[in-house]
Amino acid sequence: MTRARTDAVAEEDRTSWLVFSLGPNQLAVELGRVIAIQEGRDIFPVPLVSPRVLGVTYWRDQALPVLKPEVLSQALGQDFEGTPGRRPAASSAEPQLLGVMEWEGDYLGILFDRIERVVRGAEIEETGEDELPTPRSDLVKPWGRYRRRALYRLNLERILEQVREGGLRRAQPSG
Amino acid sequence: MSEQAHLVFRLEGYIFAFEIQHVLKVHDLETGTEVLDWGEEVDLARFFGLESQGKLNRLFRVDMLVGNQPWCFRADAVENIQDFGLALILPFPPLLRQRDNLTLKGFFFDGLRFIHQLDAAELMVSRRFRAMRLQHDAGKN
Repeated sequence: MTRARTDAVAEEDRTSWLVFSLGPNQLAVELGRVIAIQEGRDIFPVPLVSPRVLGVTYWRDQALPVLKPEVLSQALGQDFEGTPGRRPAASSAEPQLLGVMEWEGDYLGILFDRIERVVRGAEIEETGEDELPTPRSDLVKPWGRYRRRALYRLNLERILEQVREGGLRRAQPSG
Repeated sequence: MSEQAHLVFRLEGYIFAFEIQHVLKVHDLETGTEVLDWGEEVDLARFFGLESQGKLNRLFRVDMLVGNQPWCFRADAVENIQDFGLALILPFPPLLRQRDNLTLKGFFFDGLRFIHQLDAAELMVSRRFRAMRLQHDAGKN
């Protein structure tokens, strides 16, 4: 292991991570990137934005963009069982918690089902990337196991890059 | 009328608002009154890429005059003119901003719903909007 890699691993071990569930998957994000967690509120679709965006919601006097949960599920190789692109108020199939993530001054809402725990990197059982199912995209990175379940890290930088990408889509209203 | 006065209309389940200064007239097409042509008719639902909800209502026609350019569009419903005095004005999120959506200025949030605030001047210079107007002209000739 190189010096730089060793330093990175040591830093990772000291860092606190929020482990959360989305469907059958466990994901982790650096705690310092999590600005707020709240109950999912109404999300309003917006036309002419990336098809990866579910819509916007009101948060601290801002219109907060919210990522479609299926983007992460599909990155992990699973079909999302909620209602793609829509968020009816009474839908029980969709994640109910909204995490507000920050990356270099941009804010993005990510929906998830449950907070597992806040852990130190050292608590994650390193398995080597080859032992975990390979994700379909680089929006998530294989990390290890937590409580015997596969754990992936959010690649927030890539997720935000994809959210910035445009493309006219067939938008759907909130009803 | 306040400077924030807007005409609010619905299209395929979305709610949009144009500043009232650009709105010339609203026609209720159900009344059967003759409606004269007013510039090019642009399909705003197609412009915004809105998925059809299966019902083609479009019961209203809104005549617009932006600068000196007349054009019109159809809407499913038209609400009262609103001044949004008590609504929050939320800027469009920079993360979502692209050249294609400069026509979306921001949102009015009244506590219950997000209303898309449209920039009529930006719409007129939008390449896609201009292309749609040209297509309409070509269809007429």
